[in-house]
Amino acid sequence: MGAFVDNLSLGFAIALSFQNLGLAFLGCLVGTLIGVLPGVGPIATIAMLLPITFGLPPVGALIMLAGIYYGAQYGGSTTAILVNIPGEATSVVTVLDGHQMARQGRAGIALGIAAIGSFFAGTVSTLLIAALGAPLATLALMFSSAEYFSLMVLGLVFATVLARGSLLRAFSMIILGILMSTVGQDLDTGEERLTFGLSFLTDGIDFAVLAMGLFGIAEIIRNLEHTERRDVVKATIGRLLPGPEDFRQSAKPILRGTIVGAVLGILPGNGAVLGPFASYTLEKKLADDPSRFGKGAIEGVAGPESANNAGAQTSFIPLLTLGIPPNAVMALMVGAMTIHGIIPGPQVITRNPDLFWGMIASMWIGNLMLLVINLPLIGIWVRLLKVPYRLMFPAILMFCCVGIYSINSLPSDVALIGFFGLIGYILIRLGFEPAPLLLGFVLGKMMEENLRRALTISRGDLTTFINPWTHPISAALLAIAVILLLLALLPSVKKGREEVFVE
Amino acid sequence: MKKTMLTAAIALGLVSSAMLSENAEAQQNYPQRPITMIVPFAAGGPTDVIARIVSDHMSRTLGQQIVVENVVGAGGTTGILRGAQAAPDGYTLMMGHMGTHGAAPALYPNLKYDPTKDFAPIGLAAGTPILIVARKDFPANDLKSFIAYMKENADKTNMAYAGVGSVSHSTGILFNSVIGAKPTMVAYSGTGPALNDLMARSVDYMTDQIVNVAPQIQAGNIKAYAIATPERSPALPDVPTTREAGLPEYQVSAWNAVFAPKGTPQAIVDKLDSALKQALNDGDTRKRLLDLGGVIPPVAEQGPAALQKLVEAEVARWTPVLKAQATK
Amino acid sequence: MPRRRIAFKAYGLRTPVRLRSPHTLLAGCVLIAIAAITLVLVSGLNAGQLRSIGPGMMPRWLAFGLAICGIGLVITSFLSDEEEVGAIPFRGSIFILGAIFAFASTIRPFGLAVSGPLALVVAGYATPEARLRELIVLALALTAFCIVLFGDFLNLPIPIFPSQLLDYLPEGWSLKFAMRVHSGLLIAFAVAVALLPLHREADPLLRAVPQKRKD
Repeated sequence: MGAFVDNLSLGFAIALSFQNLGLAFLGCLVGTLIGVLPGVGPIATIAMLLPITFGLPPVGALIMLAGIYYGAQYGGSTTAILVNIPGEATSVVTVLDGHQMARQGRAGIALGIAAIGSFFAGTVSTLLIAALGAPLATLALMFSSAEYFSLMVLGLVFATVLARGSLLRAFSMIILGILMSTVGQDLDTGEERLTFGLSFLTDGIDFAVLAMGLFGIAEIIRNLEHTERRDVVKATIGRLLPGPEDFRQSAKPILRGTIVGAVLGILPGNGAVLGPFASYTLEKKLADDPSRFGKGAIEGVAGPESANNAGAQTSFIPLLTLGIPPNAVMALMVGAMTIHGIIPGPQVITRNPDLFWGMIASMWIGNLMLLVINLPLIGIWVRLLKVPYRLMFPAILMFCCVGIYSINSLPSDVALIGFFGLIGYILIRLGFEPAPLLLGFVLGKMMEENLRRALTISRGDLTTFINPWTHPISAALLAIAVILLLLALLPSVKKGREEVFVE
Repeated sequence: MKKTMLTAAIALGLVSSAMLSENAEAQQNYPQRPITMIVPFAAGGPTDVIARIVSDHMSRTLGQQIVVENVVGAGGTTGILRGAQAAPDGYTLMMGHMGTHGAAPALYPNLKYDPTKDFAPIGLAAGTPILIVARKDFPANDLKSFIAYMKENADKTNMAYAGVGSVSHSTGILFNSVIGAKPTMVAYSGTGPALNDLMARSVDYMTDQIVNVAPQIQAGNIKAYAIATPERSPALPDVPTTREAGLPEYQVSAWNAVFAPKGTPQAIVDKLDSALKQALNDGDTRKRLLDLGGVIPPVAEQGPAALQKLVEAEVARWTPVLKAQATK
Repeated sequence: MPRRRIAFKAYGLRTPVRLRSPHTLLAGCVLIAIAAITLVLVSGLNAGQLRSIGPGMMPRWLAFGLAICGIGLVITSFLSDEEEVGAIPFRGSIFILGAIFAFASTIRPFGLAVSGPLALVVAGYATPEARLRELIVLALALTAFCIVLFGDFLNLPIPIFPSQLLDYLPEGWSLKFAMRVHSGLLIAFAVAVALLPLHREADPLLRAVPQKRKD
């Protein structure tokens, strides 16, 4: 315990230096501003801003990059709530209830709860990392392809819970999403699948492009259906920030979301992306009145946002303790560390303790800064919503185009958001929902990759997934998935066939 | 009417002579605005890091910022293609490597560029040695017993690689063909996941760049059999070279080099060549590259002529090996 | 994507099988069509066996799954009623998509200075409430904002000016300086347009509030 306190003090001493504080602030601010740009997620943001950090000392550079990371995550949540566009896979869930809250005039409350929940989650995760970093990392090593596959299957079962309407339509959207994730070059053989011979599809469909089209553009087209409708997103009704009632409702979801997100974030291979989905499912199952979800239930924002941030923090664990980046953002961090002469790996804790503990301390400071920066910004955002829609949507559209283009500098990306916007709109009109599709898309790639790899290693033996001797975790996960699925289907079967497929 | 035409002719003459002299002047005054260096891989990877370290110094020598642009895709060929098709005015460069300019013709039958013909080579930047690594508890403790084990049990072993077109893929295939083994190849979507599985002991061995595997070897999470360069690396002094370990035929280094599009004027090529050489001579840059585990090419291997020879030799080396493995 | 519009009208006929929601039927048919197209597209890919799954296996199975869901929806369309939905905003879609394609095609050759305002104004006309003056002011102001924030401050790799014009920059003007000058000009124009008194009756701004200035 003594060592723990010593280490943390060392960390804070470093993180609280004037320069590092300033860098953390700058990182959070810049990250938030760019993350707000529709379609631009943390990866794109950090890649764009990496060169700015070159002149800085290593610890400072990493603190700033980490700040950019959380800032971009929160900026993405802001866009998700305000304009229904998820910048990253983890924001998809926030869109569901967050945007509905905004439409009801409770945008400030949604944004506020997201900020506060994220701060709490960040604090808890930082403590977790500080205390249990190394042991937690070994947890990551217990996961191999079979376990990941089963985890993805579990995630897809979560997706069915996400659906507001009929289960059959949700299933079909999930399947369509997975199908769309297969577009591009096959991992094993390099053969092109479903690319229609188009060169820009060789690397598959970009998540940001798909999300922007399906959610952003389709939503704009949909809003133009009813031209009599004046302001689609109402300005504030009542409170600007969350009140005691909102806190009461959100307290437990925040707690649960933090735990779920923190655990999933440790898993390499992007387990963090499942955090918000798992939290949403959990909250919906535990709620007294599940029908509120999808219509602006605050638990649907509090839980997933906390899970989101907890996962973002704990995903540093595999990076800092093992040197293995669990997702694309951390891979960028690896690069940043390497450029600054620090080779990430298991020895970073012992060889560069000031870096390790300084970063951990600055994680908490970064979270605090986010709160400080964003809470006042809520007032500005809400006032922005008062702009008449006829001026708002062209502005949103322009930002979408700029945002998407800035990721890869490909005009085809921009054209694709139009295409997916049209598809998304058609799907919505046919009664389908885009959220399960997006989740299917995100999970599909990982699911297929791990399925094929697990079967290659087991030489075609399907029982490898449920074999309790070789892969107990995988068996357990699949069992949970089956139970959840039955729970979801059972009431429907009981209610009778007519009601199963009705909206 | 005549006056107008005369005026127009004079104007045209002036403008064109201005543009022509501007062209010559442009070469003299190169560079006059920021230069883009296309890195065909994700930011943070070994090639990207080397590109940034080298271009950092070159920016100072040339007096204009070199901006790194990551253009990812198709094993690096997307970015290289974009660079090859750019205007040959010296404002677009590329950081190619062993995969994009050596293995690509064999891996991508529809490749739209020719590494030996469509580029104006500038020079080698740095190479990253390849190591043969295996999971901690693999039943062999040195290279010789590994090869012996593989002769009997190749079909029971799994070799990891980071996807078609990656360094671990090409060098892995070469390794297998040199030792005459046919393991089951297991694909991953990147070095991170592959290393993870190697540490978790789900997969058996891999050949990859030193930057990626050195920390894990140093921490004892995986074991290394040999390094495929003539000399041991200072970062891993205990790992024998392939020559020492009994497999001298396996000499691979994932080299990285700077290219410009074909037709770039010689004056500009010379300037870039000199800037690159200065960067490779600079103490600070060398230190950063060596810290990575990178290998700085000796003077004889630097420069455009040497690079062109290398590219031709590499294409010749990789094509038969990779084509032979075309059917899994 | 072949979409068959089936106009089933149940003129009060008491038949045993009655199409209750053409909406769902269409949805089901769309799914089946997607499945069919997918199967055709991946027919060339090797599906492999379980021990080494080929690229074709997943798409094929997914297509089957999709087809089953489609059939399920088709069946449901005969079993339960659904509300019919409203009109299709053709005008909206055309202008929005037009704006996006306008941006995509003009960004590389002409830069943000041109494609930004273009996209914004075209998109603005997606609603019949469009007012040209407002759109122009918004377009100019927002473009200036974007140029300063993304081009200047953040150094994003977005082309701002048309590439031909870049060669004619006056001596000593760095790119950033040109951006700032341009943004200044845009703002000035925006303010001018906003304050410009128009003499045409058609301008609704003038008619509504003749004395007030929009700033």
